[in-house]
Amino acid sequence: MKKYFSSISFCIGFGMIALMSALLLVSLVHLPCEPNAMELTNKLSVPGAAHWLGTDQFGRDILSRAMKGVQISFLIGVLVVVCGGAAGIAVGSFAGYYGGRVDEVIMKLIDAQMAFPGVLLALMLIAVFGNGISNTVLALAIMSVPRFARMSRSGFMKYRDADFVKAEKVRGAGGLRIMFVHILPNLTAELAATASLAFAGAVMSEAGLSYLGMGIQPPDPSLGKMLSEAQDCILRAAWYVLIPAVIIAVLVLGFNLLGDGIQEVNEGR
Amino acid sequence: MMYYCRKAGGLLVTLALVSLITFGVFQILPGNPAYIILGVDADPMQIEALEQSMGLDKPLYQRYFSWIRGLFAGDLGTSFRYQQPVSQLITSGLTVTGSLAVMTMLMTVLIGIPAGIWLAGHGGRKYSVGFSMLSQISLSVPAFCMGIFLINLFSVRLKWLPSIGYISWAEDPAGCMRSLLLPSLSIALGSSAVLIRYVKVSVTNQQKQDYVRTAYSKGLRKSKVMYRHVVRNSLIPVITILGMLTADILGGSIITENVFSLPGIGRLISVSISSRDLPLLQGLVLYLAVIVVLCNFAVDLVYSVVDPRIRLK
Repeated sequence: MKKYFSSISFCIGFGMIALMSALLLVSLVHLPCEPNAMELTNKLSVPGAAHWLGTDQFGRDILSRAMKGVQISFLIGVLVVVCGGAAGIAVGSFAGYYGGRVDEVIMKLIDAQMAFPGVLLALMLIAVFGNGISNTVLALAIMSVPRFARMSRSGFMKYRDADFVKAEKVRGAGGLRIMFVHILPNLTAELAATASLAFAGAVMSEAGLSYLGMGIQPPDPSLGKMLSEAQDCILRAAWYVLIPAVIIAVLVLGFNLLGDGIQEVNEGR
Repeated sequence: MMYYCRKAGGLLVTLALVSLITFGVFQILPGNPAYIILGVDADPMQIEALEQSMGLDKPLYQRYFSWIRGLFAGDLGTSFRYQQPVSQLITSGLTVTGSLAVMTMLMTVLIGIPAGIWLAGHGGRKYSVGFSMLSQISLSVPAFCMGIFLINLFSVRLKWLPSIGYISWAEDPAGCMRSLLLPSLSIALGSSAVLIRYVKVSVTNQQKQDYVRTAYSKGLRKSKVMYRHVVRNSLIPVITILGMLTADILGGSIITENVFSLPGIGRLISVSISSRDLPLLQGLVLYLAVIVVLCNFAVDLVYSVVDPRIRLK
């Protein structure tokens, strides 16, 4: 862990995520206002003592909504990384370790999936399953499978002929045991980097989906939804757009930098 | 020749898989699609009629093949929302999305390649740290966020460019460029950051090669070595990245078109989802995926022409 702090990217990313995690922790204990409570007499008020970051066009406290939005972003990011990661590693490890036909079939499927650009696959799945948090997670998790699969495939290919694997085979260890007990722990650092980048991707895609009105449904606050609401009153309250945008950018940037930093140190740059 | 046959075979397999995925996803739709489209309290007669017109009473494989046959004949069914043939809607959307994608790609290349070469040539730590921060920031701000900022700056504050809407090329070429400038810039900022990185790494790697040392030792000037030898060789791998960026740019345009209210594919996608217009959505998804696959195939072909060594691998 200590060696990673030699990378500037890692340090900056770590700082940003620490900041966001602090916001998350505070939001779990205390929110300044009820995020969905409307004060119709107090619409689009500028930041002040009563509402630190002002209110939106329905008179709801922007800070509380943003904090709730951060909670949802973290929740989605974690779930997507866990589900997408588990599926991706499972698929990629078989492709990489066994090679041959298995590899060809799996990689062809992954390539076909990657033909669906950006959020298109997620949009298609949401159209079929309906929106809401769990379907958004499912759609984004499926979207993140290729990233994990490719990473673990190349990792398993690197180690499948290593001496320690041969030794285990001679000892009579089964394929699954070699794959997940012996090879997988060697890929922790690469996996951490991929997970971090996938987290950033999930937060960004969720914001995009919610912006289109397809992800998290109102009245639940989500950063993407806040952006589209803020865009409607950009002429009267330009600062409102900045708040969700900056939070999304800091979250995504933080995890991107963290992932890049881990990669940098691993590759010995 | 073998190489091209193998590539073409791979292309067919990928296209078949893509069409199967697109078709399959819409089949796992829980419940009866006719109910979903018409709503729960629809007339049973209406539902039955719709089921028949959608071919829901036929077995799965027949439906798939008739869909594929329609695809080749340019008939993807009728959109419920617009009451127009899907293929007609897609064609009109493609002209907008296509112009947006071409303009974005041009911007990406015009920003990405010179900046990447420059950064590799002036490889001081000061610049590279500054640049990598800048590129990280432009990669981390989603394209639609960038779009909102650009609207705020150039349309609301400076009033230089229109904030939303689209003017077709046939109507007014200058107006068309103006209406696409902000949307394409908001996508290109992110994708050019990706390109700059690759160009920089590729040029830096080439500079370490033996032939560069030879070129210097026979007395060539730095600029000549760079542009005659290094840049030409290092742009070959960059072609692959351009193929990958096509998917990114099309994906980015789905959301960005909604920010700028452009009547393209992205706009059609969100309308088709919110109005549960499944034939339209299915057609749109398939078209976009096929475009991406074909672009990547074209990139592979170009690559093998530019660098024949690849055919031997």
